[in-house]
Amino acid sequence: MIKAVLIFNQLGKPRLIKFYEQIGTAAQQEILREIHSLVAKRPDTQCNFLEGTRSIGGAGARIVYRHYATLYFVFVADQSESDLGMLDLIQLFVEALDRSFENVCELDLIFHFDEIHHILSEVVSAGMVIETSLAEIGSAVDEAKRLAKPDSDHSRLGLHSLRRGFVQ
Amino acid sequence: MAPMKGLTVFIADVRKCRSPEEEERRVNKELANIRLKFKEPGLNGYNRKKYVCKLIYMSLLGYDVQFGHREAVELINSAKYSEKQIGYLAVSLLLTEDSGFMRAVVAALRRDVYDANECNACLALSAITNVATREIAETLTEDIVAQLVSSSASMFVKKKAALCLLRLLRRFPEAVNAQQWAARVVPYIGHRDIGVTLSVASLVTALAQQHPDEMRKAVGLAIRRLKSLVADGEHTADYVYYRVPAPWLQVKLLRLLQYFPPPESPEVRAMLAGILRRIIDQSQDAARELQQMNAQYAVLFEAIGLGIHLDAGQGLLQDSAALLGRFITSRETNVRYLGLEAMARLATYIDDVGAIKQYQGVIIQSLRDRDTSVRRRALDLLYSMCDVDSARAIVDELLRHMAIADLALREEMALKVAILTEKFATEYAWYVDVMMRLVSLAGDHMGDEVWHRIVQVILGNEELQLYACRIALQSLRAPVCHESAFKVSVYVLGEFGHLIANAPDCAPIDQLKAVQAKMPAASPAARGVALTAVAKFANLFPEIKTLCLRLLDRFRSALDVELQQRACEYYALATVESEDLLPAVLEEMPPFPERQSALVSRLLAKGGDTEDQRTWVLGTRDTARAQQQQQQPSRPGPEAGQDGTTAAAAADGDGGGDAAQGSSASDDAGEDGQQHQQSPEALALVARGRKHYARLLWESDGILYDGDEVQVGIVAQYKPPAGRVGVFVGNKAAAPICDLVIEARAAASPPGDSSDAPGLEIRLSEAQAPPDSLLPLAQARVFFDAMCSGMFEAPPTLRIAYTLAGAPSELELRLPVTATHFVDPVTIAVSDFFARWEQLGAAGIGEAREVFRTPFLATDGGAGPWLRSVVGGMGFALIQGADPAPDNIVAVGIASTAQAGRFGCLMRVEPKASHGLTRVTVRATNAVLAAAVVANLSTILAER
Repeated sequence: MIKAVLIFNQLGKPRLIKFYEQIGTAAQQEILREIHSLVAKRPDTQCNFLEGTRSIGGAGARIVYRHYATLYFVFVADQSESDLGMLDLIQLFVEALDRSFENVCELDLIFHFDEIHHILSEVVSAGMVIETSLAEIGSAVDEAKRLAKPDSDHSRLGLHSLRRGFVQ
Repeated sequence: MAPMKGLTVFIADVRKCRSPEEEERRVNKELANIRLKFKEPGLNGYNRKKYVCKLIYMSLLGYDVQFGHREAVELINSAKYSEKQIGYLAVSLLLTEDSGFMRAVVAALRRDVYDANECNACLALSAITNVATREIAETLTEDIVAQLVSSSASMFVKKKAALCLLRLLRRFPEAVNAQQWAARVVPYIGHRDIGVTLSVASLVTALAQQHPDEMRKAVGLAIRRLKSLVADGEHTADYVYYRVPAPWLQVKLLRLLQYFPPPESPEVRAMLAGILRRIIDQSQDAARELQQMNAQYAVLFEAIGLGIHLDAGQGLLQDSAALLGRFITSRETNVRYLGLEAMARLATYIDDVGAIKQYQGVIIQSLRDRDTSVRRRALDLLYSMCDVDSARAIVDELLRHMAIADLALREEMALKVAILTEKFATEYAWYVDVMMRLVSLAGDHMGDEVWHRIVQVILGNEELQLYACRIALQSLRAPVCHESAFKVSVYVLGEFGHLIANAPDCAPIDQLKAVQAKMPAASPAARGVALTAVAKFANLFPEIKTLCLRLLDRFRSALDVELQQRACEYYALATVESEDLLPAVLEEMPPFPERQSALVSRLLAKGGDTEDQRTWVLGTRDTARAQQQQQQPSRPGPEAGQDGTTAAAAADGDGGGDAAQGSSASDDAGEDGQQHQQSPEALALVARGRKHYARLLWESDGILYDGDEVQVGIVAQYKPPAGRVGVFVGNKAAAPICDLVIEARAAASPPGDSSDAPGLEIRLSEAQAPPDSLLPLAQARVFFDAMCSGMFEAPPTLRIAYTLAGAPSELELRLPVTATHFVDPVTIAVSDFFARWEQLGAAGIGEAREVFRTPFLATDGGAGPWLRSVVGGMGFALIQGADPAPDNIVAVGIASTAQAGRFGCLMRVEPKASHGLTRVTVRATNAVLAAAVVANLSTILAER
């Protein structure tokens, strides 16, 4: 199972943190820092796999990462996942982002962090791969976008309607 | 998503901050603002969404956001999709499962799961994978199953539903009632939509570990699906990833099949072998682009894994070895890394390790790879490919490498060197030399387990002791003696220094001087060990007792409390006016009772946990092989890890069979019987004798006989196929016993058994003739060496003859040494137990089954744990959770014989408290063994 998906830049600034098990914010940041310190010093010629650190699964976990331009994409999985499968999945995820943002760059991730989460949830769910077809992922994301669209009209019209949700 | 201006501005502001302090100020300002806004009445949905988004962003940056949960819940209740979407995102990122708002969230989830708008339903299903609660698992599981199997639900919903179930199953296995619906979801593994198949395959993989029987159907479906992908090319273009069709699904299905026993039908096996062959052949063609290569190799490595699991013919494995040989010399680091990893796994199982050994040079080179990940895998591989022939070369190489290895790797290296050396040592000197080198080289980077283990091994092997003493003295005299080396050396000298005391330069005084010389530089812990050794010297060598006392006396005022205490106690002991006290307290340590080597436990503990059970564990070769030999249709188990316990020529072996004792055996008056007497007391004596005997069938020491005149105690230790049984005979009478004879005889093979099969051999341990007289309250001690050459039925007889006050007496007792005493526990994966059970059942070599009356089950609450400790005490490993009925006990053991090989044995004990009955079924690869296990359990249960 995939335990976590992390995106951070070369300086270790988090761009996406998604854990598939319940874990506190502080611990999440700690793990991200630890993984950043491990991967940032590895030249690109080295392999994309690392053993887990003490804070995340120990030697039983695998850190699989890829380095794209200014960003590191990291999947942390346990040994029931194929290492190479994870590596490919990162590529697939990035291609899905690319499709959605047309040449995705770090800024897209910063300003559209919510959307990155939505796209990720079409690729990985409950720590498992859910979809591997770029077309399918794309259409799910587009469908959600289409549904969310009308919403923006309200704001542009400046409607300060007191619409509340249903009961709480 | 429509951009929200306020959010964009805030993010830009935060990005502009030059320092962490500035950023914190900006965030705090915003937090105050948001708090204020949330208090204002009439906040509209758009703004609420915006502020919640800001909170999510802050939490991403690491700020602990403890409010806004109510607003998040309001958002998920919104009718607008965009608000609902952000609401669910916030709920899954900010809320914990114990949050007070979970009730409201659960209510919303229950509504949205049924929403006619599938997008809303998908949001809810996704959210459940993030914040599952027991309530959801209990109330919504059925509905989610319905979504998965519904003919009207779209593929989107089905996929999410499947993984949603998986999450609930893992989180609350007992609340989801998987048995109810497991069979209904299996067919979806053959669904035409690859996304659905993929999700369902994940779900089925998890189910297969809990409900293997219900899931059996998945095997056929998975194989067919695999064939359609690999051989028939049935897939849509959407799922082709760099020219490889649906690699993730292929990997998933190949992995799934490893959780089931290999299919029995030859056609299916052939079909599967064909698929694997095809995958291996396809990856032979060169010149591809990187992504394609990755995907192809991902499938390939999994196929090799399945090949190993199926034992799909050694031909396939040999080809794989050749292929991997190419990989480990690849210029791509990833390929080298994965090649080494896969090869390590292969090395554990392949019959002819030669195919791998030819790469030994390359692999050793890889220990020097620039990439630490590669170095680790190389170490793993060397560990698992090591056998008796290559042990010296590999251990030498590892030791040489130790000095330059990175610190993180040194500890593991030290552990592995220690295990390999112990396992494959063929000469005592080599073992001692390597270990002393190891502690000097890696001393700072290894746990205490290593030096403890060395001492244990030396204690357990008389043949080692003399040489170990020489080396110990030598290393104490070396200019530099490492801390751990110091500890081992002083310990060994303290115990066995007398063995070399007559050699030149090794006199007691020389030994003491050597210890003393290195003490000032040693750590307090090491000095503590040295003090014990000095106390032992004081006992062993009267000629230097004064010197020893002087040294102890000095430490009586040591600053370190521990040292001071030791010194005071030892000093007091040595100066007490009693002839027996000092020798009794400081007697030579007995051989160490063997349990699982702490080294191996340590190594395995490094494995960490994983959601799905691992389909294999890295081990060393001989275990995996041993399992192959004894598990009938030779299927390598995934649990090679429990290796190492010893088995080496030098090593002490394990007496694991009797490791679990639990209760003390020092029980009260109970007597064993001379069968020829008929009086009521004599009958009671016989009855109690049976009780003692029964207890010794699963405990390693205790009373065997307790009469008026003599008491007989047993201390046994087994390292199958060998065992050592100590018999203690105590004189309870007021007069001395003379003409004492203690002898043990193996039972004659039953008449009619013309086969000259070897059975049990038992003889008096050399160098130990029992004394022929015993003073009142004195005790005689003799040791018998037992060797289990082949399986045997009847226990040996212990004959004790003596004369007390002129009257000769004779006792004939059954000595509790039975076939099951030569059983060692073996752990296997939970999912594997019943697979093997079936295999053994089908093989029909040895099955014994009996139903026993066990009325105590209903009345005694402790009966269940007691039964477990009995099974454990008999040398079996309990496989927890393998049997669906929680009260049932299933266990696995291996019996070792010196000449007839090893025999696997599976046991299932099914207590039925309501009926007061217990059914015991034993399946083994040897019929005598199976019968012996049942017979022993029968005795034990009858005597409870």
